[in-house]
Amino acid sequence: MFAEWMRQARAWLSSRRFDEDLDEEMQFHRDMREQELRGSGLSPQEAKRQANISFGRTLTIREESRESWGIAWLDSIGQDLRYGLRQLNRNRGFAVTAILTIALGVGASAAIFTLVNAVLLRPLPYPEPDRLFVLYEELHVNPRLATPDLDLHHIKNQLKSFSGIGAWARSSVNWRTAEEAILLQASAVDRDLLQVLGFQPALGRAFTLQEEREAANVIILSHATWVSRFGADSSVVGSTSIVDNEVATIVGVASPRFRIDWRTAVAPEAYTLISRNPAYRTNGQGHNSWRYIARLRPGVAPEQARAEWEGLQAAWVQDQPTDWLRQEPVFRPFVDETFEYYRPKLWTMAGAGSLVFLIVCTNLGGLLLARSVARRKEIGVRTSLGAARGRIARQLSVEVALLALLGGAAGLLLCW
Amino acid sequence: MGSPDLIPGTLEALILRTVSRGPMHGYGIAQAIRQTSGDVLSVEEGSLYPALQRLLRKGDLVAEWGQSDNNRRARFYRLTSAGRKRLKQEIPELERLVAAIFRVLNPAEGG
Repeated sequence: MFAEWMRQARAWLSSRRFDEDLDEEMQFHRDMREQELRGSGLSPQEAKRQANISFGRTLTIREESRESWGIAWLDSIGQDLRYGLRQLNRNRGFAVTAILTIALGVGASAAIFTLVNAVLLRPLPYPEPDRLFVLYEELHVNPRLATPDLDLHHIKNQLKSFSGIGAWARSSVNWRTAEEAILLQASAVDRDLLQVLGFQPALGRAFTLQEEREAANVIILSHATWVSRFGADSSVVGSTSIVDNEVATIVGVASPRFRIDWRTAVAPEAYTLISRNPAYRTNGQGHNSWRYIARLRPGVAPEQARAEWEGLQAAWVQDQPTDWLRQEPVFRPFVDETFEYYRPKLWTMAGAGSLVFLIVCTNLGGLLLARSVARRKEIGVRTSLGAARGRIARQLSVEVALLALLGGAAGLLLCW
Repeated sequence: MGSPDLIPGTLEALILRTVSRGPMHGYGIAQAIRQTSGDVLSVEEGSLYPALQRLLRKGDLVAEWGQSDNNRRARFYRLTSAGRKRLKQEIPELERLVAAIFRVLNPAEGG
């Protein structure tokens, strides 16, 4: 069966030679017949006439021969396409309007879907993200005001429900190249955090324990920054720069989708050590903007972990004087914490996109309707010339499909 | 002069049988069928060439250009092994059909 398809393909591709061969063959047949008739006593002219009559219908035979190959439908669709293109060319106004309309609809939908896909639908770039939870303390009266009361190291030691607890905060990094000094938005992290999030460097390595202890000025670049600002040059790992009389070293590059801070418009460009903040090293009580991310130990239920965290905080509160301003412990799944920022906005965008698409479809419907009314005469002529309904319907479908394809391609280009 | 495609597929079988004796061009095939059938079966050119194309498509025949007896360029058709196999199946099948038709037309007993 496959061999037959190959033969059919070859027949279709060499269609001109097919016709020429068949013509030559039939001419030969005709000549032989003429010879035979002459041999049986007819005059040359009579023989020729009879040979041609009995042969007759050359075109029909050619068509039927082509048809027996079962590839005639390809030819007719080819015709429809060419005709459709000519028609569109003649009615440029209509064609351009229709194509632009489709392009807008397709482009907008594609762009919105890409965004929704990238943010909402794709899973977070960590192993088992639903086992990750965010812990912090919040002042009920004004969530931004206070600093955490509990010592981070105390928390890490005391809480047993988690296989790891890490901390991060927003930060920035100065880097000076030969040409310029750049400021990179960064996330300051500790090693525990990288471990909790399952960080795998694309290049180089993560921070070492030594570096954390010494609060070394080491940097891991985000993948996007490595590509855009550092030209995806792998020799960047290990390179140094001197800023404010201090040597900074790049020790690694993160993997492409890795990201900790999801609430900024632009993803952070680098990672540094949070231990460089003196508070981390001393009493472990950083600014309220610090966040702790913890991974549940296997087999531990979230409620259990929540109870333990709240219990720890409550125990600490017990030891405080009564007029102390109490903070509330917060325990939330990392997924929720991350996306609550985006969700309403994305739903709005999706809604707007759907509306645009609806309008586009309505517009297009109107355009096509108007056009088909204008073409009644043409279709009438075709039918009277003998075109089958199916053939006309197919030809119109091909035209619309052509519009859709061109419009769709334009839309995708737009969206890019 | 009868058309040999009263039972569908007959023409293809006749062509295959004719070509099984050796490569032949289209005109030669038509002639051979006519002569061998004692002028009873005549193959219309309009059915011969589509049938030949069908057999080419199915892979039962292959075609090559060659020289005819009178030194003219002609397209010769040759049986393939697949065609030979098909012919071996078609002949007894057709014989069975023809015998059946014959029996209906000339019942042995009764009326």
